[in-house]
Amino acid sequence: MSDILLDVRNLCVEYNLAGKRMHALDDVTFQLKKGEVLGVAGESGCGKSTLGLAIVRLLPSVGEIADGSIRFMGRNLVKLSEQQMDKEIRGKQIAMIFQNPQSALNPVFKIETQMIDILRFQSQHQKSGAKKTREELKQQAIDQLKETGIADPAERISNYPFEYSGGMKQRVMISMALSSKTSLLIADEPTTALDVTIEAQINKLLMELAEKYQSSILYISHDLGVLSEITDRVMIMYAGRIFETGQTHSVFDEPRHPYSTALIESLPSSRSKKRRLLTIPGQVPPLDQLPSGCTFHPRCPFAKDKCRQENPSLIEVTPNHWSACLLDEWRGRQRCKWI
Amino acid sequence: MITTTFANNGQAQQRTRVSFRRPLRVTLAETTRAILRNRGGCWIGTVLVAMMLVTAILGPFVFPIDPNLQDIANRFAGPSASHLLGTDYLGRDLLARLICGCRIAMSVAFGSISLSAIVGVILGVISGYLEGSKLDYATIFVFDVVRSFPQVVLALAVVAVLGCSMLNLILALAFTVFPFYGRIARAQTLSVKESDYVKAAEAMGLNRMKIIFRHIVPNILAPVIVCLGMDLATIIIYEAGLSFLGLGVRPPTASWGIMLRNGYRYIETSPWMILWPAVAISLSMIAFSLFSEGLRVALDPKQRQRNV
Amino acid sequence: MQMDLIKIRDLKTYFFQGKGIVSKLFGQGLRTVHAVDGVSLTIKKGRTFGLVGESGCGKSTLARTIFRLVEPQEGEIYFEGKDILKAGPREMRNFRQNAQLIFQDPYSCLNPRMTTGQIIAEPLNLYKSSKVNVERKVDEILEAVSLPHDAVLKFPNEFSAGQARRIGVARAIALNPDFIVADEPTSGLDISTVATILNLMQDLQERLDLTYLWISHNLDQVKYMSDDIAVMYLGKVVEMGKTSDVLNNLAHPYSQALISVIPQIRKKNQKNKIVLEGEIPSPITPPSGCRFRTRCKYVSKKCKEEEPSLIDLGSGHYASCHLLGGS
Repeated sequence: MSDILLDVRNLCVEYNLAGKRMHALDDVTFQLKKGEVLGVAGESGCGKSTLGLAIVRLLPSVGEIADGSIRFMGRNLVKLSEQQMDKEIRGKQIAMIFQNPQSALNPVFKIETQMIDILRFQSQHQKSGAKKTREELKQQAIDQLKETGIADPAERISNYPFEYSGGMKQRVMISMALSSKTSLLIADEPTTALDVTIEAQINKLLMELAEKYQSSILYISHDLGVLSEITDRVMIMYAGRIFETGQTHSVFDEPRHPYSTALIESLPSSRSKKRRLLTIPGQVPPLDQLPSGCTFHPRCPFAKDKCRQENPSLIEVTPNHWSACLLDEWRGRQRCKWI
Repeated sequence: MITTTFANNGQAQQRTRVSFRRPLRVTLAETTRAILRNRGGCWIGTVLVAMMLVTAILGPFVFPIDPNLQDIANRFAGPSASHLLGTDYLGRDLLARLICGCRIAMSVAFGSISLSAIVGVILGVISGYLEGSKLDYATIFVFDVVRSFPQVVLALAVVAVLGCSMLNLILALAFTVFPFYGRIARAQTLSVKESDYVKAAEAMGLNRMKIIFRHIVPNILAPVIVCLGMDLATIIIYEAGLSFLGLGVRPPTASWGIMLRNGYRYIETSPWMILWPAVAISLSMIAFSLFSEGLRVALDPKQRQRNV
Repeated sequence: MQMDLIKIRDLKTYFFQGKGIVSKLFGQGLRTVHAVDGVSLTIKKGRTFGLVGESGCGKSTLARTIFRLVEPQEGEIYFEGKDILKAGPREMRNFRQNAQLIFQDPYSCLNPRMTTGQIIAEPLNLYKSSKVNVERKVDEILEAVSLPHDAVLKFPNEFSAGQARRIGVARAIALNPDFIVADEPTSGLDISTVATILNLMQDLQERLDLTYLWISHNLDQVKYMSDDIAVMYLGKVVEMGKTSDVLNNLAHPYSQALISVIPQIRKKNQKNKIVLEGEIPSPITPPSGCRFRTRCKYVSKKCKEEEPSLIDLGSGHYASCHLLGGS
């Protein structure tokens, strides 16, 4: 059990918006091993971004962790103070990169200034070594840029963010995130805003660096194809709950939960040209008015009475493959077929 | 099937309707709700402005005492039962004069601001939409020339030429202020005209005037309205100032500026004469500032809660 | 034999930056963005023509040029045989009724201060002469795109992204056009919403006999939706033809790389990726000769000197690469 890096149990996150309590995460439980890449899949509003933010405790002021624990390397992150999170966790043991690299960099400062700032902050908190000079920090920054594949790093470091393309900005963010030998990298849709060929480069880079630094990655994305290719295990979320999780290929090649099945079947790649795509009737329920029992039952064609009453928990349907559907028991090994 | 629940629009709509414009009462209801929901003193501002408008419109009719009725025996009186705010140097009731002054202040303020906003916005939007053309350069030139004069001096000059009267005062003040609206409108237009919905209208083949008035003007109004609110307050000060100098409305009409002037002369004899108009002017400034902020937030459709 | 609905010949649209004095004195002076640099393609009636490419390839500019939102420097665009770039007001009026554009962002193409009813009624009011019952037509259109009837009095921001997209589609079909250009019609939408929109667009194509120019960077979608396909890179078409021909027999190195990096969800489809090195060059200073040469692994001396032209590979499949010459 000692190779478990992150152990999240019964995590509940709520948002208070205009007097309404939105249950963004409800009873989320999962583990992440060292060196593993775990994907978090789902549509908008399912809570995947909230999960990432909750782990590093960067939820917006209207959000709060209502219940549950996040055990990281033996410590419960929910119980740590802000200072402890800042000094020891954020940017050090856990790093995060976001979807929009343009908004992560300050447009009025050079890349050089911003990177040196971060590196200086990081080196101050290291136990060993004397304080580094600006030249040393600059050289370190240049080396990091080189590592992430930016051409002519010594020249380009003096550029402003607007002179960098989207892909290059994301490389800067990745270099800053992985530099301090993070154990866990949380990537929230890091390549969604990038072109396909650049996306391939960035994902390849992420995997290489993660392997080099032995980091685990929590990769959040709505793009099932990307997740299928780079993750070891994957979780599919809906309205704040995990509906299915397991080995990536097991989940995507043989989905068990009606929702996951429908999601995969509704992709254009699952149908031959112009044959009608599967659509899920209804809409995602508002997070303050979640249906009783299984949150998916109003939209599920297989729903029975007990789906309205009981909230399903994850059941291991095949080795290393869990699904939160009450009907799995009687369905046995049969997959559900949507018409 | 898509099922959506919308909290606001409870009224069942008939199938035959004349236009697709949102009914006025719905917009007003939502606007009021948004203002009242607003944090801070915005609703205070709204209430105060509403009170002032009511006073301005109804006050002189409803209030029993004539503002010009002189009562020399009772001059310089302090607040009493018969004269709630006291009397001035000719024994005229101060409250009655204050109410009359409110009407003048509101008329001048709304009159000149409406005029200058309408003219300024139209010119600004047209010149912004036709960016780079000769008309654009000419309009900017006019704006800059007028703006380069100090406002009060310009207003004085116009009044001196046209003569002292309320109408001329409105025209003069409108003239000093319209370039600011023009500039704001133009700057907003430059960005709005690149929006996709304007492009969609162009691709549809809509003519330029319709694009300007249907698509651009409604979407640039937000900063204009904020400015309006602030300017309403400023114009009240200008009117008071010009009247104070004797270049605004003519006595014996009671405007706050004239009351200030009279009160200033007799400040040692009766502080009440100058106190009340000063309070009125300050209150109106606060009221309009808060009101304009609330109005802007309330009218912005993006601020409306999305009904999911 | 299907009719050619749209024929684009050698279209060039450039943008000019740095025209002012300050730029000339202190900046780099006049810079030309070669957004669309000599594009020729033919779209047949009733079919869906897919246009793929990454940022800077010019596909959005091409869409805007077709509707004359930007004026091109050179080239012709024939709609039903007539060149619309030289068209007079009457022909343009006819074109604007018969060709519609669906914009990328579902919300920004809708005037936030107009209700849905007003938005959809606008083209109807503009072009219908007699008092066609506009209210009834709007109701019909809403039904055709599966929007509820009470949507007419609501503002765009009160809708979800998928519904806002439908409003854009509703406006586009209001005048019963022949041709619709869909610029990234599913951007910003969830997976399940994408499926509903794709189904909707197909339904409408069948019912209203529409021709689509489907612009997308999502290759799976283009593979699924389009009958013909063109791949653009830095303002030029590098490969085009019938979708099945092209995808079974990718000729251009860029197309090969592009298709190979599409993330595949099923393990059996996951093949080796050709991950391109380097960044996409700027359209202001495109590389000399073949524009793809800076990232191509087959680059040779000829690629730097001479720009390749489209070579006919048979049955309407074209690609522009020196490697294909002669074979």
